[in-house]
Amino acid sequence: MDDPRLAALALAVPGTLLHLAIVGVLLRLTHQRFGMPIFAGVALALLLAGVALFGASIAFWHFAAFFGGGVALVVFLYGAVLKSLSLAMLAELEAAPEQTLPLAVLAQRIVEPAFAERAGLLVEMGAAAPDGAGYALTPKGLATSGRIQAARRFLRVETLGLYGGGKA
Amino acid sequence: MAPVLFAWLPPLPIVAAILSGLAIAVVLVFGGRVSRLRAPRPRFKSSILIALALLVAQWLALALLGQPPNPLDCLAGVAIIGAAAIIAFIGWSLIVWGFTLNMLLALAAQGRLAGLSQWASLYTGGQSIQELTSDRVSVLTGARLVERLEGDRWRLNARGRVAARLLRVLRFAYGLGARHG
Repeated sequence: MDDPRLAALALAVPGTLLHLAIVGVLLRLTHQRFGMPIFAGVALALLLAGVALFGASIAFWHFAAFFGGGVALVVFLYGAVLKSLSLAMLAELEAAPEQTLPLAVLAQRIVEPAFAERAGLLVEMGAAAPDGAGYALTPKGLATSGRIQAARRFLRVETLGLYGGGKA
Repeated sequence: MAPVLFAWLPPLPIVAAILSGLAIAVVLVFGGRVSRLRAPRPRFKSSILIALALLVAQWLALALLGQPPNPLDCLAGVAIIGAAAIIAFIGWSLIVWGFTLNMLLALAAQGRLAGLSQWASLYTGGQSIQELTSDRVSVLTGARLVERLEGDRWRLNARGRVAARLLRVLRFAYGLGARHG
């Protein structure tokens, strides 16, 4: 391949697939813990390996651009399949008889458990504490929410957490 | 020393793409001062369009100066904008639509909640958990993956079945179970 930019593209495509494969193995071995260090560490190792092995024949900046784009996509898709409620609903619908479900069932099977899980996560983080049958904000939760609100005020973001909008 | 340093500097079409990618962050951070960009979704879309417009303008300027980018430079530029857009979307969607983050803000607004249903009501601005479910289903309808039937029921369509299969492949690739949760 005469053009080092074309060689960079030709190397970045298998490089991205190799990144996905290695990340998949490491995520299995670590039971999905340390996700971000794994994604970043494997990407950096492959970038350096690519430069070390093919440095003279590839255009570095083009390789970094193509490979970086691929890695960003791999990271984004992981976040989506791991956390997205919409994709969880898609999987639930696929498994349902006639691939059809009422909204109430989707709420009961997907959204309510996710809500309870995130409430548990906030308790685990120390931002919320059980309070009888309900929950109370802790001093740590107050400090964290204050920082988030300050960032949102600076960015002028006033919505609720709904895609459809709704002002806070 | 100087020639070695120059050899490592990115070529101009790539510099143009990096600068355009940074423009996404600038529009997201300061775009709220412009009334038409106040809402999060139009602000994000505008940030991408502005970055692409900026990139094309810089490439045209380079062409006029006698250094036109070749197709592989353009492809690398698009990859850089794509990566920047993905990174920006991850951060933006977290701070605007993040589920746990918005639950914390709802709790902070009240200080104390009687239970999950009250929490859901605060989260959705006085509505029920069904409203939140409906909001998340709207992502699937927007992508034309599901269709609404009578009686508030939802059915996967042909496009949705393909997406669901792809989702299973991705879950396998990442070492996640076949189903969510």
